[in-house]
Amino acid sequence: MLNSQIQKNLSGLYEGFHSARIQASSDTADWEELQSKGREIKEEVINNLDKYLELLESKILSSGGAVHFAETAEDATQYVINLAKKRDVKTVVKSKSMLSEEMSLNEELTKNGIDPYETDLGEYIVQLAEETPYHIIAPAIHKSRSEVSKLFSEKIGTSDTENIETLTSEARDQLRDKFIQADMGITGGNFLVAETGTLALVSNEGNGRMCTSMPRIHVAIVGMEKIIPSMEDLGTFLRLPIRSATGQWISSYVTMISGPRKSIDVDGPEEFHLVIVDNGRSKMLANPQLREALYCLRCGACLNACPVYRKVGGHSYGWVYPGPIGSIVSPMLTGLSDGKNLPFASSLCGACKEACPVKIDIPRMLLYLRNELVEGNDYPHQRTSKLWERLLSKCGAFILANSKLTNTLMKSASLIANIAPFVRKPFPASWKKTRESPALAKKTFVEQWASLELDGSLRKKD
Amino acid sequence: MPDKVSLFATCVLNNFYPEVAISAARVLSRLGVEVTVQASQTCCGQPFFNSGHWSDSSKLVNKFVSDYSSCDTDIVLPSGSCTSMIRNHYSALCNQNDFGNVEDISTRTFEFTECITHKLGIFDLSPFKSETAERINVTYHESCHLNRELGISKEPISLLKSLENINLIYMAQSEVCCGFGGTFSTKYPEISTAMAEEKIANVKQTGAEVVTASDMSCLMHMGGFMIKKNLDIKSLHIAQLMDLAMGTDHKK
Repeated sequence: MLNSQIQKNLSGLYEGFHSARIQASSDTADWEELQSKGREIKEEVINNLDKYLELLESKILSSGGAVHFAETAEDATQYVINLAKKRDVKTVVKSKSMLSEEMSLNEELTKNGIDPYETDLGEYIVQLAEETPYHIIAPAIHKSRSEVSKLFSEKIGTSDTENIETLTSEARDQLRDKFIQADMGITGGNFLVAETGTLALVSNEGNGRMCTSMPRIHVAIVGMEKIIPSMEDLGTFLRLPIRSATGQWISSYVTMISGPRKSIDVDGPEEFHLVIVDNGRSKMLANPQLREALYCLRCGACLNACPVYRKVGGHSYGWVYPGPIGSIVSPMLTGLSDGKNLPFASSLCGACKEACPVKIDIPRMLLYLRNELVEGNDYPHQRTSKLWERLLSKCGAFILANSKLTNTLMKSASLIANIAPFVRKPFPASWKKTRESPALAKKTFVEQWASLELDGSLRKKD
Repeated sequence: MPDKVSLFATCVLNNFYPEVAISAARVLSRLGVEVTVQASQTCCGQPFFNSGHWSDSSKLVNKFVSDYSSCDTDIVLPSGSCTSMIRNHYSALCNQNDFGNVEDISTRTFEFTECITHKLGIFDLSPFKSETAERINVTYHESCHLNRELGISKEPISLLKSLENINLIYMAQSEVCCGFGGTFSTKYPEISTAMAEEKIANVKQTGAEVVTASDMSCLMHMGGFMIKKNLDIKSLHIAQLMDLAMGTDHKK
């Protein structure tokens, strides 16, 4: 389990972001309508993805941008590196992108002699600490003020202070230089508007905008599910995720990019490249049971709502995406049997589904993945359950499907428990270590019912 | 108003907490309903469904459907979780030719407090209160499936509040899961226990002598944790609490 500082920070997500989400959604007059609209739009796009991708591509090309479809993370990384080498790029500034974590992009760039700098404050901290993001929208949520202070003084030689303003301004000074030096800006993308060929980025720190406007080349790496049909739809999506993420009415910065600098523009990048990444997403697309996982807006609301995430933290999920949505996406992108524990590490409380701005039914998909891991109907090669486990379940169901057999066995167990008391409390050791086992009743309810008189008020008197 | 209901105790109550099912029967009967019990009842199949063994779960779904499709009374379960299993998951697990039966059963299956409020139309239990029962300080935990899958949240609270000898104290984060989650509690005992610990800290904050909920599984988890911690707080099912507060001396 986690140390008390991290535990406190994670609990804070519930009182902070989660409560703010509830407030913002209840302040939004037509919230449920907005949710349904958002969901419908995603549904339409995901069901007709090829059509929208083609439209988007043609729009980007006609505005002078380049489009590359990458089937795998490696393919996407290679495209970025080749481009960087060709254009003699030495320094890259990056704004927050979970997809770049799928690609291990920073690591790969560094290997190729290119220096990447994260410019989102949280991501900057995580990069200095040589870690991975702990939360989709609050990557350094696990770091305390004093840890950040120590990290900054070690890595960038700041003065010994825990003053947040001072620390932030130190980071800003460092990053300002990088923005000026950088030859390439790499961003993710929150939305791709097909009809206009526009990349929309939302951020709170303004770093995204600087990554897209200061360096001479802008590369956006975006998952193929991030597409939306029209500008009109963008209105829905500028409200839904941010209100669910932090409870803000709208993000501090909304940046829209349609291609590189035009001849009449006074600034902006000379080149704009859009890398659209699959990396396993088409596997989810192909399965109607899991398709809705592609509706995810990466707002992090399900993480804040999740009591399991708040106990285990973001580094316990084994791959890029933590929390409830991570428990669906990670096994699907990396291989179900590799992420076999994730679907089971949930109490199925449903807080994630309740918090989701597009009502993604995460518990339903967790149940589906559990079934696949146990029975392997759709993915026979991914079945990881043991034979004894399946036999035990079969025996249990066989007994319970026969009430006479069940009653006989329960009666016998209760009798045996009179001489062997441990039978009375049959729960497994993993339960009993921290919780008392309930005791088998001497007589079941059904047995007692037959002879019940109770207090005389049980049966209705005419 | 139904004059007759069939009580499905659930496997947990039938085998571990028969007294809770008896309380539920007693309360319903005091509210003027005739309670019947099918002797062939065992389990709704949820434990198998939730742990991924769907074909095994189907066997119990089919049993339930064949046990209850012939009767035409409402079916009452003192568990939001098992009620949700029937209402939300049975259609995916049953035999194809049973769709109609499942639909019919789903519409007449009710969780205990849901039956009292939505079917019997009783939100105020004060006419049924005991004159002698002592006043107890109680806090209420919202069981996840009752709250989120059935949308029953205000109903049990309104019932508890209407009983004068129950002093209901609001618990912070009452809607957060207690950490039970079926096999989750034994597959991931550390996480499950950490969740119980947080839940019980909130229970303690209220100063209540009793924590109640509409699902015995949550209470088994919270109660089991409290026993290990030697805490002097009882966990009672809402039916038991209502049974206590309504007493035997209620006005007719």
